[in-house]
Amino acid sequence: METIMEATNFEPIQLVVETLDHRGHVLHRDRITLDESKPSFSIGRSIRADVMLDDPHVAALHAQVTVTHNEVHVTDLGSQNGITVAGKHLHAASNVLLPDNCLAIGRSRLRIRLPHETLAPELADRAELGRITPQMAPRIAAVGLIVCMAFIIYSVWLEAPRDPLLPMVVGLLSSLLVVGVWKAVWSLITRVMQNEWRWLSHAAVFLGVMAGLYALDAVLEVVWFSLGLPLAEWRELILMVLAGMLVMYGHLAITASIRPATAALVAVLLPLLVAVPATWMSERSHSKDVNFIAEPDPMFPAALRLRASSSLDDFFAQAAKLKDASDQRRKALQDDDGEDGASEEE
Amino acid sequence: MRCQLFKLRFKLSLNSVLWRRLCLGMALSLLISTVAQAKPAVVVPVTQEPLSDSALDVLARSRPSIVQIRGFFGKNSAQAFHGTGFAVAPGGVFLTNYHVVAEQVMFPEKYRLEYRTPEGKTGLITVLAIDVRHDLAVVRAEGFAPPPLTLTNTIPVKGARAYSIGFPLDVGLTITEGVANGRVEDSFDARIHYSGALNGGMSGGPALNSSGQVFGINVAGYRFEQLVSFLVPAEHAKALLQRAQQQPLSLKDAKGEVVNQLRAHATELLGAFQGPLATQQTSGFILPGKLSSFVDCNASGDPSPNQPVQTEAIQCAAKAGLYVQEGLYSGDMTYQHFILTTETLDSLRFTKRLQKIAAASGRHGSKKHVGPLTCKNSNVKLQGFDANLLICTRSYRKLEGLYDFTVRVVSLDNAKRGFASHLDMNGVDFDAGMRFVRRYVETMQWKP
Repeated sequence: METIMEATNFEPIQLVVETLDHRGHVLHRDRITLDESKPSFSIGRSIRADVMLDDPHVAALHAQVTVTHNEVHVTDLGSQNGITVAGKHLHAASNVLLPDNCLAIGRSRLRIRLPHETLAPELADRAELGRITPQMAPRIAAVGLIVCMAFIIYSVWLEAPRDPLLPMVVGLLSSLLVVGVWKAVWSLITRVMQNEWRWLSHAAVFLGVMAGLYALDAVLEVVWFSLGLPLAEWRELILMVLAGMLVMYGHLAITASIRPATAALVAVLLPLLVAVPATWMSERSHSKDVNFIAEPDPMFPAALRLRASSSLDDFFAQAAKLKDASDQRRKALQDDDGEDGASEEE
Repeated sequence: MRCQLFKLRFKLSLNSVLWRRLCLGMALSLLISTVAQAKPAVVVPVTQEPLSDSALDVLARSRPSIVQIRGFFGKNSAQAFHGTGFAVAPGGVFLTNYHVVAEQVMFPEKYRLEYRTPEGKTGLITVLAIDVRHDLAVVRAEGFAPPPLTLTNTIPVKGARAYSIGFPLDVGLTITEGVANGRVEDSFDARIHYSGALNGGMSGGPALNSSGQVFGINVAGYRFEQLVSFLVPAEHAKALLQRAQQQPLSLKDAKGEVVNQLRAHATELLGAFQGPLATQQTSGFILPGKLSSFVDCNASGDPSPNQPVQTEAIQCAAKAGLYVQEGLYSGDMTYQHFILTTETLDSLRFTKRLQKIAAASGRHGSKKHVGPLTCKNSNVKLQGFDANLLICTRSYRKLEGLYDFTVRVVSLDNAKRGFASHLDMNGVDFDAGMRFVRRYVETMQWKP
């Protein structure tokens, strides 16, 4: 037969077998040398195959490939699923020429590259509009951030508010939030496209921590009511921040490959970065809202009360201090707003 | 319903551009509709009752003594607000409403006051005395001293003819004819009920009897009702006139004067509730009831039987609010009780419902006038039951020494019945206010 006859004067030949993914990107390459002692190579799942494929739809030894005069031929070694050549599905193919040196076996695609292949000419590297090199990216981002922040501050300054700090912080934070959400959406899309969604793990982290938060909050509410503790507006805030830290740590450390120390640092800092300015903003707006009354703690059936109520004498002795406290808060507002009072928020 | 009507009460001088446009629009549309109706061949003759001879006589006699009072912001020649005034003493001494001159009293450097006679003569006005409590002011007109009108303490009998003169909606000197209906019954403020038209701009004008004597001063009306108008009895004007002549007001002390008058008003209001507070019993709870004859109370409930929680609401108002300045009514007191009972709901959800109703009341106020609320909240022992008591106070900015109170009481003990009570007081002395809050709370009792 022809193959055997030619094998007698066989020139050694170096070739590369590329395994491709469904988009045509190379997953890995195998370098193979064919010579007189080894005139062909085999493809299959077995470790005895020269090109090993991790594909359940491929037989242990699926096909045999020979190369003569820069032409590649393939022979099916009796597989169940057959092979695909130039879009045609073949069963029991024998010595079939591969016109484009490409071959599909099972769900894998292979390309055989020979030393004499014709390559497309090298592409000239011209800077393209819209393409950002890794060196440029941080600089553009930093400049963009500074310019955006400057515009927000400028637009607040232009309005000449009596208290410019609050609208500036609100503007900066809300724009940072928009940037964060924008980035998060793109990160999510990237992860989903790379099949790295891990949504069950994320759901486990989030729902687990939320359940804990609800349970702890409910217990604390009952404890507060039972013991008749004074209203603590910071209680829920602290719980929320703690839950935020736990969720953040869970998302970072458990589901992504990141060092625990780094994850912990980010998990602590990020919720604080959100909570501190948000609390500052709400405190500030409350101190200017003359109609604001803090929402009291939830009440429960009387059977849960452990601490006796105070007498009216004690209560009104304490309430007498409201006079000075009211005067102080009024003066603080006056110092903040000017003598005549600001009307812009009315 | 009466309580709601009072919220619609308007002051006659504060004649915003919007209100005027609204009125003009309504008048125009009325005109258009009558024109359209006149087109058909059948013309119904409209018999217009001419003013009585006495009205012509009253107008002729008092006309020279009545001026329009106009307020201007800054150096503007376009007016900011306007009302009416009339001469009450020789030497250009005029009477008007406090609310006509209030902005100038509060911001003397921002506003100026001028008079304008029906003939078009104008000049400056200075405030000599104010009575916030009765909404009166005595002013002096520069270079204009017409013969004064005569004041009388005698209030015409119910049904007697009466006349009111002023400059409604800036359309020129106008006389309206109506019926005097005596003093308003059950009112904390002394008011005469006048069944005649009073419109914005007539504030401070005289209300006269058939012999041309001034028995009242135009002060307020209901905007969406028909010819229910109010006058301040002239007796209060006499006292103020005396004060104006003996001790004219200096604008420097004007704010202190307003504070003193508001404080006196609050003391008088709280003093009206001497002795044990009147109570009423609902579902086992004894709560403060109609505290005085002038306090308006109305009770309501949801009559449908299938609600998981039955609610009865009792809402009371002293209707003692005074106009202090633009956007600031003070001196009023309101309180509400919501009594809840349930047959079907467990105590956990019933308590939740009760707390929701307790939180439902909102406080109104502008930071132009008051500071933020400061609160004290705790569980206290009351008579026969425990309750959660919240007291919040805030102090006035320009009117130093006055405080607003907001009080919430929510019963704690009963699983099947409970109540939430709100008390709001405006512009009172702190200690007097706190004493009243304590009496209010101490009155509450659980007596199944």
